[in-house]
Order: sequence, then structure tokens, then C-alpha cells
Amino acid sequence: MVAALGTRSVENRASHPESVPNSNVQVSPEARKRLERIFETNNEFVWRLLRRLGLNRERAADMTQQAFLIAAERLDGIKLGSERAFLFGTALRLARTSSRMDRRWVLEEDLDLRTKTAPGVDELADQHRATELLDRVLATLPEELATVFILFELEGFSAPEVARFVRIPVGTVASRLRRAREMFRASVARLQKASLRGGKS
Amino acid sequence: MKRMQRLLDTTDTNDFELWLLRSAARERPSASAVAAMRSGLGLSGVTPLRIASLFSLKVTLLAVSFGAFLGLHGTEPSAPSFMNASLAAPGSIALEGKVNAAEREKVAPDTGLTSAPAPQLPVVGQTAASTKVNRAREHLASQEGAKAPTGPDLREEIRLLDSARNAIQGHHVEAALDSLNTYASRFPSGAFKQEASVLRIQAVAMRGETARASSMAKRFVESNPNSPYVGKATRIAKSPASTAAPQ
Repeated sequence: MVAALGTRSVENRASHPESVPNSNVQVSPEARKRLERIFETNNEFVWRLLRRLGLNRERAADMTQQAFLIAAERLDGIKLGSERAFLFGTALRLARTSSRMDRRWVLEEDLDLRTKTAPGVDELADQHRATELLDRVLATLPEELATVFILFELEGFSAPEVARFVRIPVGTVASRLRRAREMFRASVARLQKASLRGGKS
Repeated sequence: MKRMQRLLDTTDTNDFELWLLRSAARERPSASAVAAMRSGLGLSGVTPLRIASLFSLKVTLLAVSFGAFLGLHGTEPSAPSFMNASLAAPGSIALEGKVNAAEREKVAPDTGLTSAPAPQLPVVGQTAASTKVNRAREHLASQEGAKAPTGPDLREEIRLLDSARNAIQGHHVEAALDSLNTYASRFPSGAFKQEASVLRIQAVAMRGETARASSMAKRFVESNPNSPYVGKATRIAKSPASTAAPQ
């Protein structure tokens, strides 16, 4: 856990950055309710996004909380309906500061999974292995392609939604997605090859 | 523009790729991690975090003292008064947030969504120990036992869903519903329950029961607000007739 937000009052400086902070500003029940709703609706999305961007489970939980803390601070400035996009941008920036530490692996390196990467019966049961392999594959994609791929392919957002989140034209979403898929498939093929090599040796 | 299909919904995605893609949809933070986050944000409904809260307060107090000792007031003008206010009025602590300074800078709030300026979060040292608390919780959560499906079961689940999806793409609605019914009866708590629900909604819409599909889709979104299939369900809810057709 990274931080704690007081249950009874919260600083509201988003719209008045220069003013002396007033810690006694009470959070309105509406604001608390809104934060609750935003958290309930988006916490898994933010956490999964951070995971797919290379953070481990604990780090992803820490950074998810950071993202919501930042959202809580700026609640008044976040437009209704833009909460998820705001959290996406915030989480992406948080991931950039974290992933250098967490995301070290190279696709086929250090794979004691090498002989197990084919989707055999036993392997299919291993959810953790699948997500680890997925993350290895995603780590081979440049960030701008990975984010589009994650949002569209894994989180199921439509192309216009992805365009709004990433703030690029829909046409660019399509072209990035095309390139991301090519790279994804190429990396998966490399993994499978490595799996076969491992199986033979 | 023709709507793009997800790899999950296309027929040329191989088993291994599907396995990887689906694994992401199933991953979520443990209940205890979510509880810790809720507690940290001061949201209601969670109680098992007394230790963490105490710890957090302790760290805040330590950090305040340390900050005062180092004379950080000049570099972080808002933090000391803010923290002092917290100390002065412990009953209404404003924000015990400990957003790491470096992270805060890099997470420049230029989201372009609002004109709101940078959040002036109080700076307190990152806590390794808080991570320990989380780690312990994660461990406990993992011990609480996620019921992982066995290999053959999972493979059968995937087979039934693939069969349903292929049937939908080939306009064989009844065959799709047969596969989905089999799935529902054999795997009532299946790993791909959400995916199955969305396929069923799609099949119902294809059968021409658009009002029913729309209401099913709405219920799905309400019950699974965090699902990666919310987008698809929402599209079906809005326009069941057009969304149901294979693209």
C-alpha cells in the first residue's frame, strides 16, 4: 500500500494550485461517492493496464492506488465521463517511471518455461504462466503499439474509444494496431519456436 | 469504416495466441489488494487494514519530522503546512498520501482532459514496508485459494467457446446456443463465463430478439463493470441488431 486518503476530508487544490492548502476542506458526500464509483468501475482496468505494461502484481497495486490518489486530488477538474481516460493517462505515466525496474526480461531468455510453452493440457491450467508469457510478448512491442494493443485486444475497447484515450486519430489506432498485431504474432511465433527447441534439447 | 475485430473474435488466431490473450482477461487484483487500495483511498466498506492504516500514519508522522529536520519547506511549499495541518487536526487528516516525489513529477498531469493544474501531492518517502503489508496480503489471498481449473477442463472450456464463436460467425445461431448451453451446464463457474455471456447475448441478438439481447447486455455491464467485455456488451446494448451480425 502506498498511501492513505483521509476518510473525512481531502485537500482540494486542483482548481486553485496557488492557494494555501486548506486541509479542513470537507469532501462532499457527492465527491466521495464519485470517487467510490470511479474506483469500483476502474480499479481492475487500471491494475491490469499496469500489469500489461510490465509491473508485477504488487507494484501494479501500489501504482493503481497512486493513480486513484491523483484522481482524488483532481476530482473537480476531471470531466464527467472522462474519468477512465484520465486514469489511463495517469497510469501510463506511472508505468513509465516503474517499468524500467520491473520489465527486464527478453522474450526467449531465462525461460525455464521453454519446454512448457506449447499449449499442452497441463500447461493450459497455468494462468500465471500464460500471463507471464503474454507480458514477455508485450514487452517486445514499443509502448505506443503496446498500449493500443492492450486497450483494443485485451480490454475490449472500440477503436474510437482507444483513439480518445490515447488522443490519436482513429486511423492511427488502426495502423498501430496492425503493426502491433504483426509484432505480437511474430513474437508469439518466436516463443513457440523456442518452445520446440527446448523440447528437443 | 468497417469495425475492426479483436483477435479473440477472429478465426485465424491460433490456440496459443488465444490462450495468451484470454489470460489477460482473467487476471485481476486479489480481493485483499483491492481492499488495501480502498482503505488507502479512504473508501468505505473495508476493515481489515488497521495495521496498514496505523503504519501509514506512523510513516506520515516520521516523514513530517524528517522533512522538518531537513528543512524541506522551501522546496515543497505546500507539503509542510499541509502535513502540519494534518498533525494539528488528527481527526480530520486531509491526505496521508505518499506519492513519491519523482513519480509525481514524471506523472505530469498533462492529460489534456481538463485545465486543472498539477496536483500538489504531499511528499513522503516511499515505503518498502507498506509493500510488505501488501505482499503478505497477496500471499494470504493466494492461499485463500483461487480455484484454478484443471488442464483438461480448461481445454474443454476453450473448445466449447471456440465452437460457439465459430457458429456465430457462420450464422449458426442454434448451434452456438447449444455450445453455450453445454458450457453453462458443465462449467457454471467457468473461467470464461463472461466471454460466454457476451457470446450468448450476441447469439440472442442474431436470433432477432434484440430487446432481450439489449437488456441482457445492460445487465451484463451492470454486473461486470470491470470486464474487458464491457465495451462489446455496451455496443450490443446500444445497437443489438447491427452489433450481432458477424463483422
